[in-house]
Amino acid sequence: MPRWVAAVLSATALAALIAFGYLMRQMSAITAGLAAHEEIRAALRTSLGDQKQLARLDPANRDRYRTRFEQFRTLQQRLDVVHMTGVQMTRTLVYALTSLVAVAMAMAVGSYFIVRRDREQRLARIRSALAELSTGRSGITLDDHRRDSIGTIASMIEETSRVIAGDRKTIQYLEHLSAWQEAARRHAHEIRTPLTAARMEIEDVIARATVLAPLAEDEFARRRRSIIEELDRLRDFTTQYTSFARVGKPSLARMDLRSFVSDFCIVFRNAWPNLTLVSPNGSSPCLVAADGEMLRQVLVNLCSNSSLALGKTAGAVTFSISAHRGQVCLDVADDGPGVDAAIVSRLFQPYVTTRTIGEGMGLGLAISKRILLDHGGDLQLIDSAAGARFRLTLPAAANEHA
Amino acid sequence: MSRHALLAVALAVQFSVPLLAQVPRVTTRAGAMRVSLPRAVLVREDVRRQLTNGLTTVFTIGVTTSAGARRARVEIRYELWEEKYLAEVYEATGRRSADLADFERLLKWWEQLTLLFAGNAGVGEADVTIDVLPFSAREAADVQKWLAGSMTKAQAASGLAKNLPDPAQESSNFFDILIGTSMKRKPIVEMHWKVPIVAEGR
Repeated sequence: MPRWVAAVLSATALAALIAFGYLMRQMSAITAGLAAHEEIRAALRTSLGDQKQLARLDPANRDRYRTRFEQFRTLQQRLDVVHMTGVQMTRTLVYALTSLVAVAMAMAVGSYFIVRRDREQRLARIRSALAELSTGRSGITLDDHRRDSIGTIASMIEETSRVIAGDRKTIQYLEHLSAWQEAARRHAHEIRTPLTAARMEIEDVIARATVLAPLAEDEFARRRRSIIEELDRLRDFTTQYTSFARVGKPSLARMDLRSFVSDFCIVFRNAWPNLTLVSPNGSSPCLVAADGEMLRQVLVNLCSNSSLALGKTAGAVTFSISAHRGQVCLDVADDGPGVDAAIVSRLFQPYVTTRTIGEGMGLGLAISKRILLDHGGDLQLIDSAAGARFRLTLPAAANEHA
Repeated sequence: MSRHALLAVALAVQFSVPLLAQVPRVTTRAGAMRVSLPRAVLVREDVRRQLTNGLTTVFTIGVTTSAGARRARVEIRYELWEEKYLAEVYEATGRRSADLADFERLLKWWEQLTLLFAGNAGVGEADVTIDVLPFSAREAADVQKWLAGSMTKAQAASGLAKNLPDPAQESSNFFDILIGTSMKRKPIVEMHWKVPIVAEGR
């Protein structure tokens, strides 16, 4: 606000205050003057004399005249006191009311400046946060949650910062995963070609050797089986590489996740002898857009991991569904030993596993997370007091009838 | 005695009596202090006019000596119906009252009035003050209650107030407090003397 405007407002407020005090004084003086007007008091004095005169002339009603006399006398005395103290009362009233108004005005002005200063400080913090956001910084917190427009803007900046941080993390993960997939594709290609050639050469060598030495046919057959077994193992290894490298794009279709998981629990109830699958509670549909085949692959992978972690112990995998802010969450929790703390931070990276060599390549969770990311959701390990709890997040599909 | 001497004594008496009547007299005897009031207070035109208006005129007497400060009070009201003066004295020994038919009798009673204060007067001089207040504290409280009740009735008539207080009871609202604190009894006359303390025989 320009200084001249503030000066004009202050002068106006002061003039208003003085005018108020003057008017109050005039009004109070008029009121007090009316209350103790000399004509009224003189009339009362005359009335007192009249009552005494009447009492003398009409002794039978003396008491009645006495009572009236006392009433007039009391009123006259009250007006006399008001007359004597009117100026005092007027002055006190004017001072008191003018002081009240002055205090109210001072508080209003003070409040205005305090509110203005507070708003300027909040706006300065907003400006600073916006500058940081424009440089791509994430994790911005403003701690301004008041229910006004500035508080709303602060919340939006914080939310945007969180989304940027999440997106950046996802992008980094996908870039990293893409690099691993490309490497896997090349390795699979480099291995597959000589593998096929080696298999053909071995078949040819064994066939020729059998012709040349028919007596050693059994020995040749045994050696052939052994070599082919190893080549098949290498082929299976390459196949896993290939499936990791060729995770396809999901073919989305609208589905009720709750009934999908319930069906899964029924169909796969005997797939893992040491596992009991517990369906999610509730009956209301949770609509999502997802590729059923890929989703099933993810659930199979999670249940397989749980079964392996439990080993010979029997356990349960419990499914639960919740919806929040346009997303549907499917929690898959087991009561096994939980995830080794040493690998939690790298759990979804390719080739991360606690199993011994030959028991899996550690690609299942990386493939599962890629599938969920391609669905526009995510796969996360959630803190759990016991066992392992994974959360699949999928965007909710709009209700047909909405 | 010669004629000149007699004339001198007569003149002295004539002038000393009025002089004595102008100042209070403070005496001490048997461990108590007594104060006589000057008629000059009562014969003042403004005081005499105040005495006849029907309100209670209050005379507060303060005496300060080397032994401390003490106070007494005399209230005089003119009863308009019976046309007589009602006087009440509040002092150390308690309260006493008198009915006086006219102003002359009142003046005589005033001159004969001796206020008793407990405790020794000390020695030296006494500061005596007399303040004349135009109405009593009881009359001030009555007017305060009357004004508060008038405001309540005015609010009721205009429909502004809800849950009106009983006008007969003392109101504690803002204006009632304002009236109470501003209705101070300002003295119409303030008089002050410094007089010697006279020790009377036992």
